[in-house]
Amino acid sequence: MTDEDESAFDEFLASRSTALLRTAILLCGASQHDAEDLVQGALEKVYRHWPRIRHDNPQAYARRVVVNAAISVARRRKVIQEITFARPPDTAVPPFDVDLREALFAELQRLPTRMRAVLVLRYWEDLSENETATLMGCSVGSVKSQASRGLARIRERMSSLEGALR
Amino acid sequence: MNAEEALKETLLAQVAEVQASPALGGAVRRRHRRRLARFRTAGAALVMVAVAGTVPAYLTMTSAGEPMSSPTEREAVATIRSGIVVPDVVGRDAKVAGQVLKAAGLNVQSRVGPLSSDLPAGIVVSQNPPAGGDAEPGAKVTVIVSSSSEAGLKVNKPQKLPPELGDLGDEGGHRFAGVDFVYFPEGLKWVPSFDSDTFGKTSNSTSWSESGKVTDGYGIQVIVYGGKAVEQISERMAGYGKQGAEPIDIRGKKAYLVSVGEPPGELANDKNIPSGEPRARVLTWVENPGLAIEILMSPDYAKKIDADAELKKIANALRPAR
Repeated sequence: MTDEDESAFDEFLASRSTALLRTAILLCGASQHDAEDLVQGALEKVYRHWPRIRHDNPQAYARRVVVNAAISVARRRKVIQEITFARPPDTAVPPFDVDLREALFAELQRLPTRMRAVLVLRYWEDLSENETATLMGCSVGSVKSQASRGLARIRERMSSLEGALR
Repeated sequence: MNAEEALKETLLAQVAEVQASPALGGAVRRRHRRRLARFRTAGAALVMVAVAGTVPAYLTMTSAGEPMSSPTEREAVATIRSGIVVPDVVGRDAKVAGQVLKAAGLNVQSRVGPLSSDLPAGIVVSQNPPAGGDAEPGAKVTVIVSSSSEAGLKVNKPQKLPPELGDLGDEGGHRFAGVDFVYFPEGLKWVPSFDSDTFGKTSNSTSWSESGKVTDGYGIQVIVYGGKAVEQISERMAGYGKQGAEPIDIRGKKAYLVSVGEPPGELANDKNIPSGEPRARVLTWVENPGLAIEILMSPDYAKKIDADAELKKIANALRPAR
């Protein structure tokens, strides 16, 4: 790797690493520490292939690696949680005097892993339906249906909270 | 506020404070160097074993051919013959490693190591005693096998079921972990993916869903427990009874069909799961002292069928293969 490659990689990190870290946290509900580890691992892969990919949309490549890793971490946790807990821990928030955002984030963590990923990519990363489908390796129709089902769950939770607060 | 705005705000609030550390670049490069170093070490160890393997053969030949003149050589023959040279299995597939060690006359104990994002799962990352050392015949060699935080990349891909675990899949078989699952609700397909020892030792788990795709959620998940894990299940069932769950009968065996809460072993109630939340239904029973089974139905799938009736049907139809 040339010096120029190295400094271009540093620039890439400076502009993209915070966004990648945030996406990772949202995707797998991990602590910042765990998400940092995941992102480091993903970026090591980017670094490994940097001279080859730097001119070919490294941002998309990095995002894909992070999303794949985060989905797998989240899914693995989810299977274990669903079997042993039936619902993820630390979400047993009483419906009263809760912060709406916290409740919605907890609800987001309960969604199926890929459904959550679709919501994060669409509404956090602001990707189009097409881009989301390409990144996740599924059809646009599946992105649409997952997004609308996920939003419906969020909507349902919002209205139940409003009901509880009344 | 509509749901999309609320969601955007929720996401933003969750990570607004998060900033990547400026040290990230250094950490990534260190990780990269460590990875390179590991590959080089594995290579060097292999060369060492190749040498260790040839020396005794050479010495043996000379000792048989002509009388030994030098006392040091004589000693060398004696030392090397007294034990087994531990083969190098670092970097190899765990299964192959086990075969190599057993073929050398050693016993194998494998442990799953810490998460690694650099290696696929199932690769030996270290061994003790190390390669090239002497060991008595039958001595135990501990190997640490990689698990992988990228297992999802692997899990995303369909896995092939090893024959000793069953014959589900295209051939239309219905055996998994020593149990013949004769009945499943129509339209469910096996998801070509499984987990071993995720739910205690010894346990095997796999699932069925409407799409049969590894990328979608499960419809029905089955966990087959053997060994020590059976005791855990017996205790969990006793706990269900104490909490007031009514047992049901599955082919003459006591079983519990319950919604479970948190922590494990607790029945779902309004404290550990708010009412209105989806609850997965779980059917649990001990088939015999060496076999317990849990069948779990996802809340999503349960809405589409008569969940409890179908769970009972699956349980009543299945047969232990042994």
